[in-house]
Amino acid sequence: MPVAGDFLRFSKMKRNRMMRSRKAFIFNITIVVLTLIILTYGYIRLSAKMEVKREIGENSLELINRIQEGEKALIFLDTAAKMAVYQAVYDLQAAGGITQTSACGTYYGFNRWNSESGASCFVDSSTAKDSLRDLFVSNLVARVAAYPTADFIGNVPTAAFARGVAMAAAAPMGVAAAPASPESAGPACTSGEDFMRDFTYESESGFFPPDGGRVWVPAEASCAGSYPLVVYLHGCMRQDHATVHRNFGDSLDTDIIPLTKRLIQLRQSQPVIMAAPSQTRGSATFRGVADSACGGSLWGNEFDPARFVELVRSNLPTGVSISSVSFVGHSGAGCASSIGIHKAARDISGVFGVGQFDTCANTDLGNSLNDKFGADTKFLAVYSSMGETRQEQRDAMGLTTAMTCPSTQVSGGNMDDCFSDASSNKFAFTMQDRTAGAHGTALLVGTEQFLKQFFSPEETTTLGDSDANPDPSLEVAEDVGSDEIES
Amino acid sequence: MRFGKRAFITDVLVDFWAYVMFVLIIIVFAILYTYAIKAKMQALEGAKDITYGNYLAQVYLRKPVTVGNTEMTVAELIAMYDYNQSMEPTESRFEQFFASPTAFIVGTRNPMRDALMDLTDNFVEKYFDENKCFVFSIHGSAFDYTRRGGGCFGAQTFSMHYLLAQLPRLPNTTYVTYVAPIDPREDPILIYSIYNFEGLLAIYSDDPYFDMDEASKAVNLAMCRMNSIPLIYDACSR
Repeated sequence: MPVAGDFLRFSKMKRNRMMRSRKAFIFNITIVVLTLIILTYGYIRLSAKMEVKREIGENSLELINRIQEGEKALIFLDTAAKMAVYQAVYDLQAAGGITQTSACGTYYGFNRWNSESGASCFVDSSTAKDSLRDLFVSNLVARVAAYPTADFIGNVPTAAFARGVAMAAAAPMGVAAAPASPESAGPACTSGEDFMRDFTYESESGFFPPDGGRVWVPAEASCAGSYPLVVYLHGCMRQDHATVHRNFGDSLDTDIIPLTKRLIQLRQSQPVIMAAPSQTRGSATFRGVADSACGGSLWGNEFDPARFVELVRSNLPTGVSISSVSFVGHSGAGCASSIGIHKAARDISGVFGVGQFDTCANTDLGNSLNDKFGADTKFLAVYSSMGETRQEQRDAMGLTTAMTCPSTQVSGGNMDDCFSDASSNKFAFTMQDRTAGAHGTALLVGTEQFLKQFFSPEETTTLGDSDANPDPSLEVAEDVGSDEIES
Repeated sequence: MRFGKRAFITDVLVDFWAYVMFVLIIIVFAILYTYAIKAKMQALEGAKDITYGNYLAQVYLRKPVTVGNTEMTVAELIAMYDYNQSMEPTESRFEQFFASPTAFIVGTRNPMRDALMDLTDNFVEKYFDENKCFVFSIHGSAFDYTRRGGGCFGAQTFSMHYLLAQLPRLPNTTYVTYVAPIDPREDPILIYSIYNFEGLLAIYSDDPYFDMDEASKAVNLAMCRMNSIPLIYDACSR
């Protein structure tokens, strides 16, 4: 084949020429050296990639692992939700269809649907539905709180959080839940700063001003953990005197934040989260000024305590959560059974404690609180100028056991008429000074006693602690007038 | 340009050694590359097996099952079975242990247990490779279930829960899936799903000579010395 022959001849000629060429002399050695260099370089680069968990595929693996973590959490959540539904249905039927105490009273702990007087207290479907939802959320929170690698709690939109925490200590299938305990609070921090944030409680009514909500977390509670929440409801406010955060960070003499801070620093109170809404307008006329916040319009239908607690929770620092919820009210915040602290006691499932600081007091209001309280709900009242009919309320609430009045660090706040109930969960103290000028002082005394009594560190004596050092910052002017402290 | 006879010989010798060197270099690097790729592939295989083990746990827990007339997922069945076992009075549980250690660990016969055990056994046999060093274990508050691959643990009997607790370097997110218990006071139920224990150790353990069998003996011995209830019935006799 001529073509093949030509090719062989050409190859032979070329090889002969190359063998004689100087360039051909170094060709083979160059090839060897280049091969050695390339392979060595390749091996070095490959060796650097041998640690797969650190180099190749690290991000991909991390992504896959994250997805799987999410799937695992969903499996846990699915199961927990189903268990929570079963438990909520059981709890609802055991409670007679409502989460609060029936207006017809109870019979061996069970809500009654009718009373001996013939009144009916049947539960409508809407109430039962709301109760079921609250119970479900509480049961769900109790379960998902135990999940070790994901934070479900921070994303649960519920005001029943305190009950959820309490449920974690409860037996399943209808056994009564343990009350929320302040002992669940995390360890006190030794560093950090106080945290304060304002937020808006939105309402079409226009009763609540922008940035009228405020939450305060003391430095001692800035570490990650769960701490008790105390919500303060201020008293009546004239529309033309409207201020936000009244008695809470507004630098009045009756500002309760410096007092709370001092009690925590003196270890007479656990670190607590304080929060307060502001209501500057309403449909009532107060002291001759229309559109003021008072009576049935103050903390009434337009205010949802559960929603406010939810807002507080969403405004807390990262890692800080709520272990229990308490409501305290001053003056007009407790003058009707459907508003203020009464409304909060009704709407917040498993409310830990209620404080009544120189509000109205009578038999009906006492019965109202009785009906809304659980067996272990804490209660503390401090009466001053508005406590003329305090004995009626004490009798209605069974606060008939006389006791030695505790000491107070608040100037002008001494008490002389003190009672508790048989279980020592509920207290009523009356200040010696029952003039109008002591109305604001009662707020400080009430806050002090409420924190010392129900959120006391274990090693601190609470009642009868008479040798504590008075602190100037706790003093309040004794001649506080009605213009400064509205009733 | 022409070369002499000596130059010609030198040229041939250089060519020869160049060929030899070239072949040697290729062989040496072929060995090195093979070794490197093998190590990398083992690591990738281990990482893949971790993912697969977790995936199997998810498939297992989401699997629908009918018990009696009730449809549920395996996760719910496990939660209910665990709660059911926890309802046994403490006294009778002690008696049960001495009468039948197996029944004490996995529970007495009942429809729930039968469904759970059959289902789990079938699942493990179907999806796990007997030739690999796998672990599939359920650790509830009132019962334990464990299936292991035969190739890596020998004959030693031990609790996977306690053994894994001895390996703090292994992040439990790589092999644990949690199931919510019925009773919120109880800890979550743990599902251990490890498709390839050796691969897991290769990635996370700092001790390449970790001996699983010796570790399991140490676990059992420690449990006996603690004078606790011997959950593994033949542990203290060894």
